[in-house]
Amino acid sequence: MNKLLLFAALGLSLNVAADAKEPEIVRNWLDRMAVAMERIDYQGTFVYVQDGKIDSMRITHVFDGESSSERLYSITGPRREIIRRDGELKCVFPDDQSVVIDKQVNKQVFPAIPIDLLTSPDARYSLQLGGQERVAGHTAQVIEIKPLDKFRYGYSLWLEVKSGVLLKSVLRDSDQRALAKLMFTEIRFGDDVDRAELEPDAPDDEYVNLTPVVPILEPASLSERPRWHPAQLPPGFRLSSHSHGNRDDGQVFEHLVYSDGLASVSVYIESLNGEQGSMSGLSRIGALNAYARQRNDLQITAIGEVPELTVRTIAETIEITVAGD
Amino acid sequence: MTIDKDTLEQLSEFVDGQSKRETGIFFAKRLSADSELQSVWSRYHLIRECVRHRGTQAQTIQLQSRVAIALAAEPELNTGQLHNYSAWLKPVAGLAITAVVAVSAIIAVQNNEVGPAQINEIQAADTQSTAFTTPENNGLGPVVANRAVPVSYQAGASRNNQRLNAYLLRHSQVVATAGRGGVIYLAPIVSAQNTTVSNREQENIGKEQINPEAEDAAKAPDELLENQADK
Repeated sequence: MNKLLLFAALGLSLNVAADAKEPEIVRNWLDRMAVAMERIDYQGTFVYVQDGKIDSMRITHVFDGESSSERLYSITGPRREIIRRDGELKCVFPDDQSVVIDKQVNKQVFPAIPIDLLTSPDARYSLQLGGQERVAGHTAQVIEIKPLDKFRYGYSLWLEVKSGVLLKSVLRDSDQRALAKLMFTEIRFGDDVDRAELEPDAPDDEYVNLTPVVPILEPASLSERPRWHPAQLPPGFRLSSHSHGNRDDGQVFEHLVYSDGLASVSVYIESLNGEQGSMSGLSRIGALNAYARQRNDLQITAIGEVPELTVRTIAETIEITVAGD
Repeated sequence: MTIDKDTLEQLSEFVDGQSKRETGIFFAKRLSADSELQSVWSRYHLIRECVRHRGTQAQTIQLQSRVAIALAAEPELNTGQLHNYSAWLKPVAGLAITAVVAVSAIIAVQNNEVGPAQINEIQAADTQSTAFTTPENNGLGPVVANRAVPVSYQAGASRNNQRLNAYLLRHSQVVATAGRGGVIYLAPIVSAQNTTVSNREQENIGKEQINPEAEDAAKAPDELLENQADK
C-alpha cells in the first residue's frame, strides 16, 4: 500500500514537473519556428481564410546564408504580390501596373521580439503543447497559445516536427473564436525549392511607383527614453524597438514598437505641420487594427495584429511630452 | 481503418473534383471533424500532387478551392465578428494614390463618442490585472464604439490613406523581420482585397457607404460553404 502511495506521489510530482516545463518546451518550439521560417528554404501553397473570405497564395522563401529573400503572391482573385529582399518590401499590383516600395535598409530598426516574456512571471499567455497531426503530408506538432486577457489574440500552431516550419495556424480571440486560418496544402523544402519563383511574373520597371510616406529611420538605444511614450501600456507589453528620423520636409517622425513576446504594436508619431484632415478613430484590416488620434500638431497612430482595445489604449495614453520637459 | 471502400472511392472523386455538390458538402463537413478522413484526404492530395508533379495553376486553384471548403467548414470560424471593409493599397491604374484609394485602402471606422459605460467596459476588459487602468475620456479625443461603419475620407483623404498604408507596410516589415519569420505573416494584407474597386464604389467617393463585402462577411460559415460548393 505504501508503495502504491509512493508511486502515486512520484507520478504526481512528475506530472507537476512536466507541467512546469511545458511553457519552456513550447517556447523552444517557437524559437525553432522563428529560426526555421528565416533560415530554411521552403516553398508552398496555402489557403488563408479571413473575414469570410478565402484566398489561395503561394510563397517562396530562400535563405542565402546571410539574409532571406521571399515572394508571396495570390493565386486567386486579382494579382497581388509582396516581395521582401535586401531590406526592401515591395508590393506589386500587376493588374494595375503599380508598385509600392518600403525601403528600410537599417535592419537594426527592427526589434528582436522579446520571446522570453512568454515564460516570464509577467507572461500574458498560457502555453500548451498539443499532440501531433498531419498537415500537407507532414507530421506537425500542435502548439496552443491562449491569451489571459482581452488585450491580445491566441494562436494554434502546427509546426513541422523536423524543421519547425509553420504548416497551419489559427488566430483566435480571447473567447477562443477563430478569426483567421492559414493552412499549407503543399510545401517543399531545401533543394526542392524552385528559386525561379522568387521573380515576379512581369517586370515592374514601367509600373507607377507609389512611394510611401514613412522615411528611413535610425535606431535609438532602448536605454534612450523615447520622446513620447504611453503612460500606461496594456499588461505584458514592453518597448522592444525605438527609431526616429525626419520626413522630407524636415518634420520629426518616430516609430515605437511594443511587444508582449508574440504580438507587436507599432506606434507612429509624426508632426502634421499644420496639415488639414488628420486621421482619428479605428481602422481595420482583418485582425489587424489601427487607432489614430491627433494631439496638438501631432498624428499618433497605433497599429498591430491585436484587438482594437489594445491599439486604442496605447494610442490614447501616449504622453505628448518631450523627455526632460 | 474504419473508412469503408465506398467512402474512400467517393473521397478520391472529391479530391479529383468529380463529386456532386451534395457529396462535396458532405465531405467538407465530415473532414472538419474526422481526423482519420483528413489523413486519408491529405495523402490523396499528396499522391495526386506527386503524380501530376506541381500541376497547372488551374489545377492548383481547384485544389485550393476544395481545401478552402474544408477549412471553411471547420467549426467556430468567427466570420461574423469582423467585417471585411478593407482592401489594402489597391491603387487605380495609371494614378498615384488619390482620393480614389480612400475607398480601397484601410477604411476607417466611424467615431462615436461614448459615455462612462463604455469606459467601464474598457476597464473591465483586463481580466487579469486590476492594476492596469485605461484612460479616462479626458478630452484628448473621441473614444470609438465598436460599431464598425466604413466611411470615406474627404479632406486629406489621399494623404491619410497613404500615411496609414505606409504605416501598415512598415509595421509588416517589423513583423516579417523580427521574430515571427517572414512574409507569410503578410498573408492578411495580400488577402485583404480579393475584389477590385468597383465603379459604384468610385462613384460613391466622399459619401458614407456600406461596403457590399460586409454582407459576405456577415454570412455564416455554412452559407459560405454552400456558396463555395456552388462555384
